[in-house]
Amino acid sequence: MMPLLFLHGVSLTFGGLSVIDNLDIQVRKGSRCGLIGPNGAGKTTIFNLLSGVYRVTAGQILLDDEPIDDVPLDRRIHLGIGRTFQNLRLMKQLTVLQNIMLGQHHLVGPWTRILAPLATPWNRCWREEAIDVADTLGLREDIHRLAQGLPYGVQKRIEVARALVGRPRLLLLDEPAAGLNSNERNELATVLATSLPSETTVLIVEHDTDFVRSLCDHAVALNFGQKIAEGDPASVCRHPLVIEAYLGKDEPTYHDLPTPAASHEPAFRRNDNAA
Amino acid sequence: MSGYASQIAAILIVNIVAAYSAYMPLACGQLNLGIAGFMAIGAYTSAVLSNHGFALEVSILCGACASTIAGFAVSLPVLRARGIYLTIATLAFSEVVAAVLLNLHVVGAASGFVVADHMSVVPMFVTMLIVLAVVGWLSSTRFGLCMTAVRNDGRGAAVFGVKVRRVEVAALTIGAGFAGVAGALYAHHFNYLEAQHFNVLLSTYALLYALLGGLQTPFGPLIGAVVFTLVPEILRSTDQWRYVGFGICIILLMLLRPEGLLTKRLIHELRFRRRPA
Repeated sequence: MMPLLFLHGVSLTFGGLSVIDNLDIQVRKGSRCGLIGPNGAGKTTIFNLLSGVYRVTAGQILLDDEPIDDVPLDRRIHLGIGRTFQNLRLMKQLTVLQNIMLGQHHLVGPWTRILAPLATPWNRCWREEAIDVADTLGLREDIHRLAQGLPYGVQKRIEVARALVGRPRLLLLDEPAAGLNSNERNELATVLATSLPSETTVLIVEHDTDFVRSLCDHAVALNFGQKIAEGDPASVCRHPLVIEAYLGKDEPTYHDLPTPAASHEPAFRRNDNAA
Repeated sequence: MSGYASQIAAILIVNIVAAYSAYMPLACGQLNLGIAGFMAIGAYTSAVLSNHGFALEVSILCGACASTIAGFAVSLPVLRARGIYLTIATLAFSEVVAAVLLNLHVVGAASGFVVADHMSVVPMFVTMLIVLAVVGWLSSTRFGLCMTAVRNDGRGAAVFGVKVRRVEVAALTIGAGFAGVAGALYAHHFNYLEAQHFNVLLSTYALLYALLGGLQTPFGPLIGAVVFTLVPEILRSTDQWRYVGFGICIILLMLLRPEGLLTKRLIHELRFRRRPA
């Protein structure tokens, strides 16, 4: 199947610091792709490149075979790229419903935006759609509450609802399960598995490999801005380079070291390869 | 209504409209210290037109249009600046307008300008209601949603397709229009204009009304303007001490209610208290 998203030789540098280095990723239409890797691997940076927060230094990003590098931040959503944020970016002074309705902004006509009050019949279909999505994500009871002060798990779900209501072709979920307890995590995995439209392509950044395995049919592992493994989630999670990236190399044990008598060298010395 | 009461009512109406001219850009996170400049443009335009025989309503409308156009023209370059630099740029604009009027002999320069047509408190009150209705209506639309989103997190709002700069320009322009209305009302009620009146203190008070009233709801500036116009009047019997009392009120308010007198949370709590689940 054709890739919806194609990152072709993408690099990003901040001054002399290379954050993403010559990265190639293809994401098929309608697939659920997990992006895993330790902290600092460049996962969220890729989301920021896709949503237009950063511009690539080299390479090209293609969405449905169209380059999107020059599309500004506020036009990316018109291409069908919706996202959530690792660090919650809800509008704290808006209610849950208003936050979700903000996700429809690009779908609504300019005159409706300016002239039609949200509570009037002109906005009824948009409001009902937002309430339906809120309902699906278990937010029905909270829709008239201010986003500020709601439990973290609820705020995470509001972010997902806000992204979903924009009917994205490519949905970027940035650590949706981070900070949730195991019950909330399982609940969210179930909700995402059942409520995401099948035609929506999903890219998920997540540290929880069980969460990735339960949702994704494909996974890409990154470390220091480079791809280290790709394939089905289970095999990627077992890949030696992925294990090494998360856990580091094995340190030699006391018994692995040569005895002083045999080698005439000190028994304990600094291991230069240690991370 | 006694002369004193009608004067206080007129000042209150002008202050409320001026507070909303400060509120619009503040709702997007922009601190505009050019309100006095926009008020002056509205006041002098309306005054000149009415002195040339135009109807009062037409003159006020033209005054509002003139300040709206000025607001739009100023917002394009000024909104490239952020934070304190934006505030300084708007303040500079206001000072330029005052300096020009102070030297413009067509409108009396430093001697002041006499305005022929008088406007009583009742039509002023109706005009204020129209301004309130426009603000209330704008706040209830997606435009209002965007203004709050831009204030909370502009970059986050842009991810959802909000044209942040357009929203900021629109808010400052509409605010400038309201300032023009406030200036025109002032001109036609007091029938005399002085360029020195449109100084930085006027802008500061307008900002104070909006900030202390609260930016989270469109009713905040109304509450702020009412409280902080009437408090100094109530304290008038204490002579010079009234400024001390006024200052103490502001400090106490900033300590106890830093988000303003009227907040969404307060309204939310009042609503839930009334309807227990």
